Amino acid sequence: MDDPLKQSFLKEIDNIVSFQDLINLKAKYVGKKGLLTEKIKNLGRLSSEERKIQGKALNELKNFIEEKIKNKEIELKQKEISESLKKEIIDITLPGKDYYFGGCHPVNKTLYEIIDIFREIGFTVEEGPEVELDYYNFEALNIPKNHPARDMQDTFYVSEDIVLRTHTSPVQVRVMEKKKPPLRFISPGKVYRCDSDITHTPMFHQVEGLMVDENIAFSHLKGVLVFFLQRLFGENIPVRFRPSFFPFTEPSTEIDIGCIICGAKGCRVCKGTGWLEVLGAGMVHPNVFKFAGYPEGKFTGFAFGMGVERLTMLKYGIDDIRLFFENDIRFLRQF
Amino acid sequence: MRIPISWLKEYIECELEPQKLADSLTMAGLEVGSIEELDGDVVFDIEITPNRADCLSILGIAREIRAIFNCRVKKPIFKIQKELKDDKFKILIANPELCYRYAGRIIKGVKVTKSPESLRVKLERAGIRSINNVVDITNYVLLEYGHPLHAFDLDLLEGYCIRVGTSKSISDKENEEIETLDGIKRIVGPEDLLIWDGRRPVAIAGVMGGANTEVTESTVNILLESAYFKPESIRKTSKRLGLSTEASYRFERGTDIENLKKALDRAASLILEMAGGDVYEVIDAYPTKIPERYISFKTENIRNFIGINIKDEDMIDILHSLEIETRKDRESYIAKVPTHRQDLTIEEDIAEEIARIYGYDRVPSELPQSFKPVMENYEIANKRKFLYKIREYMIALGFSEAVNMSFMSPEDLNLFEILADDTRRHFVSLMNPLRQEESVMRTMLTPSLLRNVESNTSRGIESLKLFEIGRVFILEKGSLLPNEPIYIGIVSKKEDFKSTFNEDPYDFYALKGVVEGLLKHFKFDNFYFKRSSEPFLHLGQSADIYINNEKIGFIGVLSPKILAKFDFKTKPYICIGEINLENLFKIFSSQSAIPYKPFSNYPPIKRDTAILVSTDFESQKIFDIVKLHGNELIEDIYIFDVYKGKGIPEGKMSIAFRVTYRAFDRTLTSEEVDSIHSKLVEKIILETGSELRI
Ligand SMILES: [Zn+2]
Repeated sequence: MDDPLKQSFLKEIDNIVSFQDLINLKAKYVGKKGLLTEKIKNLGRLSSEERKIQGKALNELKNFIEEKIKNKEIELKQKEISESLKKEIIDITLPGKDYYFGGCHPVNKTLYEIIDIFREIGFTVEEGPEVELDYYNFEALNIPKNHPARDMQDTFYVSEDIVLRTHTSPVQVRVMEKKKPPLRFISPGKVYRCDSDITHTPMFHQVEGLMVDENIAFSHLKGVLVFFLQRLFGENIPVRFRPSFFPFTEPSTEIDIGCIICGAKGCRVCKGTGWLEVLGAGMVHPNVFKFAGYPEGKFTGFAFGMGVERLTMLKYGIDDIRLFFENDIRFLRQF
Repeated sequence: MRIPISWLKEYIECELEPQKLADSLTMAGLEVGSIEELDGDVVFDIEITPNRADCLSILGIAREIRAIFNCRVKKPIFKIQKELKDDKFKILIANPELCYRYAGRIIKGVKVTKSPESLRVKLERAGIRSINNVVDITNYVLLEYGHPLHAFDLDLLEGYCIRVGTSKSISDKENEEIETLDGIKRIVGPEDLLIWDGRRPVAIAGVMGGANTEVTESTVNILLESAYFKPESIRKTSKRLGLSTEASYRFERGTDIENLKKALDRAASLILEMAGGDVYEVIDAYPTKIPERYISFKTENIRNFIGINIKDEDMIDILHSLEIETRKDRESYIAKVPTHRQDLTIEEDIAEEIARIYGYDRVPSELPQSFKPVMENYEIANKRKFLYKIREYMIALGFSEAVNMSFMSPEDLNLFEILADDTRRHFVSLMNPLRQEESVMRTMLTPSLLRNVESNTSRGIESLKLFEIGRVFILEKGSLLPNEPIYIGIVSKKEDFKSTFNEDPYDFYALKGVVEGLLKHFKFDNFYFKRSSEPFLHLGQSADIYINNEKIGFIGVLSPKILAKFDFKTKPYICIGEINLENLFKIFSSQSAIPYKPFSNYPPIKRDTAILVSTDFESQKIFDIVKLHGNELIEDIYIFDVYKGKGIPEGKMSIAFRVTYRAFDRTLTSEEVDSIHSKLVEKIILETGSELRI
């Protein structure tokens, strides 16, 4: 229907940009004296037949115009909100409030990771005192006084009979005094050695572990520790077991992984050997079972121990152990 | 131990490439720490574990190589052609429980000179300085056989005899003085074993000879000593004197008592060869025998214990290659322990010998077929989880996790002005600290955290939030070991300038919010804060934290008096806190599950009121009054504004609080709430002496 009124309305509404113009337009066409309103008023002059036809057409046009105006109004409102939002734009690159996020200590991070791996294969966690009786730290572990093996660990003494534990092995003795096999636990914690240089700090962290039952073999020791090292350093890490000596295990072994710094080619960290020592372990010495009061020959088991600082240094390429205890915020926030 | 390969090769009949040899030794338990090229020779530095005294010699290493590579060993061949008799020289052992055997040979008419080049080079490559031919030969045999020897100038020995004993058993004196070969006068105790002539001590047994009988270029007649001393005794003396020598290192690990005469003879024959002279018959005092040792073992046990399938014959072959003789005894085997392997005592030792020569790498790696269940230590497991959650909570709030040494200086307690009767003064002291600053075990965490703040600040860090979770050590009366409760220490620091943001996360209330949040996180609802009297905290801005009337910690602004004692170049504002997590965990684990509290969904009505109080007013009073006189319709009350300054009279401040009213069974009316609220406000005004702010 090419009603000129409709044509001119459509033309005009297209150019509307403000509410006021829209109100004016509305008045012009459908207001009290609007063009269309006038036309409807004039319908009475027509014959009833004509009125019927025209009336319907005009009413349709009125609805059409009102609908158009309503839509235009919504459109203008949306436009207005968009305009005001633009004025509320802030600098989203400014830092958030209290942006000093915290970091965890890398040694504890590794420690918890180690605990998780062993819990996965059913090891529980045990703890013990850091200021320890000489008996638990040495004698019950088959290291009598005046034994050369005491040279392996420089000890802080509190008195003749009380030491700062040099390893977490005394926890093993304390647990064995109370519990009968099967035993399967690790003992994480701080240990102390009277030694301080570029590669040693007088305090560091260890995780030691013990598994005792009937028929535990050296091959199980290998299985558990290979599992652990592959979980910590990745499935493809080369692992080797070397014979060694610890007074509380027999046979004893030290475990190396292929140097992850140089890819086993040989570097300063691995002293050119391509191997890095990461664990000490062995089959529990029968004397240790004897101290624990276990029946002779009934149980076998293995024990192992590792330095958490060392593993952490290897894992994150940290080259100075002293960084761990300076607590520089720029260091801690990286973990 | 340094092993020159050219020397080693004199005793082994197979060609071995150095790198392969090093790898094989390492994999048999003799770890080659470094390989050094030296004037066309190769020198291994082998780390010998304390149990393997038998490997502290070139021949010992050669024996291992024979077992690993199955090759032959050539032992040195020598013969003493002519021996003279001398009945007059006497050896007396006063302490046979410390000196099991003492053998000597007199050699007369030697010519003491510089050693030949070949001998000097060998010793120097092995790390031993050349002295003269006689002394060098004793050192040569020490390296070759692993048995320490000593040469005395016979003419300087008085009374033509040797006596072996402690000063307790030989002289009446408490302490003896002796000048050792290194020119140092040493005081030895009554228990230390000495070698004496007829009048005085001439050597510290097994450790070092005396200067008074030293072999020099003017020496003509010598006495050569080869002895066995009890390892523990040598170790004690060496430790006490702080003097470790090639000799003491070997004696304290155990030498081969049966072979000491062979070493003596070897040295005598070399002296005859290089320095001339006439040798006399051995004088051998051997009062204490070490019994022969046999170990019974079952091959089946060893197969199960190691987890390998190895034939009996192969096991026996390995043992024989290590000079361990065996015989069959019905179901078992009996191994005879060679005298140089005093470390072998039990079946497991035999298992290790077999496994290490067989190769640890050939042992399969297998997880046990099935794991039996083991009981969790719930106390420890729950505590670990508790501590882990606290750690995560603190990190999430922007605190970084510190780890400090567990030591402190007793001076730290003075620095913190800790009172004389405070339990934090009950510290554990170390007998042998490395430094004064680390001479006792810490009883507080905050001193080292403050040092962390100090060093971070000196490195230019402006704002900082740290915490540490760790043990402190408090001596307990009547208990052998100290109490080791776990604490958390917290510190926050900012420099004295306005933050870009209005809300300041570094003040007292920020730290209080952290602690309250932490306690609420674990659903504690019975905690409160009381003004603290800790001497190191700002007296007006510090609080002690209580749960169930038990103090569990403190928080506050570090007292400026303490801060002044630190070396800050800036003007930091520092808050610190400590909480006894051990006690907190005890309370936590004694809590039973808190039953659910129903809540109402009827609309609330809120009323805000501001009152004027004096500036020293503590707002806790408002909460207390509400708690005491409150209406059951009061759902919540909180303070939303504290203001002093413009529009408020001097000495006063305005506190604005909002009370939320809500009923469980109906919608409240405004009138009803107004009436309750005005009564409440009246009560508050009356009891606090405040006035309504209009
Ligand atoms: Zn490397």
